[in-house]
This record gives sequence, structure tokens and C-alpha cells, in this order.
Amino acid sequence: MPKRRKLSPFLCREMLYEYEIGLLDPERQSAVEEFMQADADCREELESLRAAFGYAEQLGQTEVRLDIVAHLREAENAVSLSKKYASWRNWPETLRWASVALMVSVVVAAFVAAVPWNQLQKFGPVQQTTVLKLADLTGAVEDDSEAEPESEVAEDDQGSGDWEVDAEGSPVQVAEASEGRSQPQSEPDATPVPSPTPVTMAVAATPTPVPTPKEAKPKGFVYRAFMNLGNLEEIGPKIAEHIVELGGAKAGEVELGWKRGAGRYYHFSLPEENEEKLLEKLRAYGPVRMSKDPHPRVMPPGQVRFILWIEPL
Amino acid sequence: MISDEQVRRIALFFFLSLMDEKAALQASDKAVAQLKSKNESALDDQALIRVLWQNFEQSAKQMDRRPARGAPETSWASSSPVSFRPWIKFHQEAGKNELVAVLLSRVLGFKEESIASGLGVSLGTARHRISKGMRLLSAHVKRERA
Repeated sequence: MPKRRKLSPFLCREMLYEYEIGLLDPERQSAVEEFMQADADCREELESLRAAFGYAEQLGQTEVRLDIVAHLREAENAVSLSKKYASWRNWPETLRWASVALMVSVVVAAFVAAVPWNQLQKFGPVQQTTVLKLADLTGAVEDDSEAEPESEVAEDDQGSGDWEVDAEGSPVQVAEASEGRSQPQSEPDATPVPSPTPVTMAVAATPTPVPTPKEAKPKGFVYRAFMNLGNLEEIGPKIAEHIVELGGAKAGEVELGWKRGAGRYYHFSLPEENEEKLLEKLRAYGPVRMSKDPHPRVMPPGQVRFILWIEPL
Repeated sequence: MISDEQVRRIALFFFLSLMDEKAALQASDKAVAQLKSKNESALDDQALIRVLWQNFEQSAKQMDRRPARGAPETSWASSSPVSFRPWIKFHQEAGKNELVAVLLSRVLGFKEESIASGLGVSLGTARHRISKGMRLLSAHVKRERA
């Protein structure tokens, strides 16, 4: 039979806590009980320990003031606040509306900053400017084809081959073409003169009503033809002969087939019924590019006006 | 989410461990906010004890640097079934390890395993601290009753 260990008072006191909560093994427990039967101090200490257990348990039932508990329930730090307001639904009503207002303001400000307001005038109604017109020569009906050549010559003189240049309404240069000038200089020998087209001057005068686009719209037209041909020295005069044969007459002041640089210029009127015949003859020499352009000058009935420009190949 | 009972236990811990209403309120505020910022699943007894211990140590250090305070304050309690005198004596004489161990285990009722884990000590160490503290407390309780 193993010898039972004898407890000292110190050991007994050390084991009282574990004895009280029942953590000692049965052997130790019985040893403590035996020792306490003989040691009154140890028994008294156990009683005190039990009283302390009861005291601590009752102390744990102490009620904290409700205002303190309520205050602590609202305690927040940066992390808990961010967690609390991570969801939009948890935001306070005022904060939600303030955020919406802020977002709307940002969108409106971005729109205002992004729109090119200075360019919006292009899309609005055109502002009419007051034009003082001293004379209007564009509406005149051409009853004398000899009376006008300058502007047309000038149009073609603006640049050889540039057929779509329209000198309407702009200051023109008049070519000083004459019968005697068989070989004009390569650069146009032109002298600027006032245009017969509407003359506008910024002078004090009684303002005239601004013509509407409908009123200024030309009613006449002109055929513009363009060809690239070789051997112009030989073909050029023949084309002039064809024009004359078909009843064509020069319009303007320069002769048919006027030389300008290396090209030939034909400005003429022609009976309308011979228009196709002339084109057939021209096409026999080469391809013809044609356009029918509006023009303020109105030809007499049955007459059409041509401007033909031929350049060497 | 922290329950009212948890808030009460947190407040009681700091009031009884610090015995200073202002310091206890500040520490409780901080602890509750820290616990709110944690995931709900992590809000077990061990996490709670860890937060209580950390904030207690910080507050105790701050209080050590302050001039000696006057009488312990108990105005935070609306009602108590027992006198605070034995506890106040115990608070003055016990070391902080024993004080916190007794407070957590015998006053607030946390399990010894949770206390050991929350304080980062072995179960035997935690039990020894409780035992030592309870013997000191029992002496003051005995004197109070005498």
C-alpha cells in the first residue's frame, strides 16, 4: 500500500481554491479534507474563501447607471463609424440628401465646364448685318452679251483649271485682254477694278432692307466646260470655228480661243438647240467635263452661255 | 453587434479595475468602439478579454503617471448588493495580474480557459493568479464581516 503524502499548512492553503472549485484529484481532495479536520486555521481560511466567492459573485451583479450604458452603446471610433456607414441605407437622412445634392452639383458643373458655349452661336439663328448697298447691278438681264466679259474672264484668271471658283459678290480682277495681245504673260496681267457685282461700302447712308436669300438668288446659269487636249495650237482654232459654225458668238471682250498661258479660253453664247451638237464636236477631240452653275446674269430665251477652258495635256 | 449585457460587463470591468470614473469611462468608450469595429463572428469571450486587458493596461499606465487620486469612486453604480469596501482594499493591495484574473473569473464569470487565452497565459498561470487573488480578497471580506 503506497504511503499517503502528508500536507503541510502551506500546501493546504495553496490547494484550497482548487479544492473549492473541484479541480483536485480524489487523492489530493481527501488529503486536504483530512488535513482540515486537524487544522482549524485552514478550515477558517476555506470559509473565508467561500465568503469571497459569494462576495465576488454578488459584486458581479452590480448595476451600472443606465446613462453610462446608453453613452457607451453610442461609442464609435473611425473604424466602427466607417463600418457603420459603409452601406448607403445606414446613412443619416440629411447626409444622404446632402450627398445627392453634391453629386447633382458636380454633374451640372462638369456639364457647364464641358460645353463649348462660344461655339454654340453657330447652331443658333444667323445674325443679320445691315448692309448699305449703293448699287445693285446683279439683277440686270443680259440683253447684250457683249457688255460683260470682265468678271468671267477674271473668274478663270483666278487660277487655271480652278473651275469651281465663283467670284460672285467678291471684288474681281479684270484681265486686260485685247485683240492685239496674242500671247499674254504667264502671270495674269490684270488690273483690279471695282466689281460690277454689289458694291458695299461702309459709309453713312440710308439703310436699305437686307435682301433675303430668295431675292438674291440668281435665276440665270452658265455652262462651264473643261478639257485637256494635246496639240492646242492646231485644235484651238478649229474649236473656235465649230462654235461660230453653230451660231455661237463671243461674250465678253476677248476673242474665242484667247490664249492665257498655255491654255485657251472660250466665252460665248450659243443657240440652245445647238448645245448638244457643240458638245458632240468637242467630245470628238477628248472628254469634256461639264457643270451647269447658277449665275445672276439671265440670258435671252433660246440662248445659253458657255465658258470653255482648255488646258494642254 | 454588442449586447447591453456585454456593455454592462465592459463598464463594470473598467470601473472595478480602475476605480476611477473618468478613466473607466474613457477606457470603456475605447473598448466598445474597438469591439464594434471587429467582425461579429470574432466577438467571443477571448476577443473581449483581449480588448479589456489591452485597454486596462493602457489606462493603468496613464493613471500611474497622474498624481495620486483621491477616494475611489463608486458613483457609476446605480445599485450594488454588497459593500465596495473589501474590493477597494483588495484593489489597493493586489497586483494587476491578480486583480484582473479575479475580476474576470469570479466577478464577471468568464471561463478560466477564455481568460488564459485572452490574457495570453497558460491555464495554470491563470488559475494561480485567480487563486492568489481570491485568498487576498477573502482576507478583506473576512475583515469586513468581522
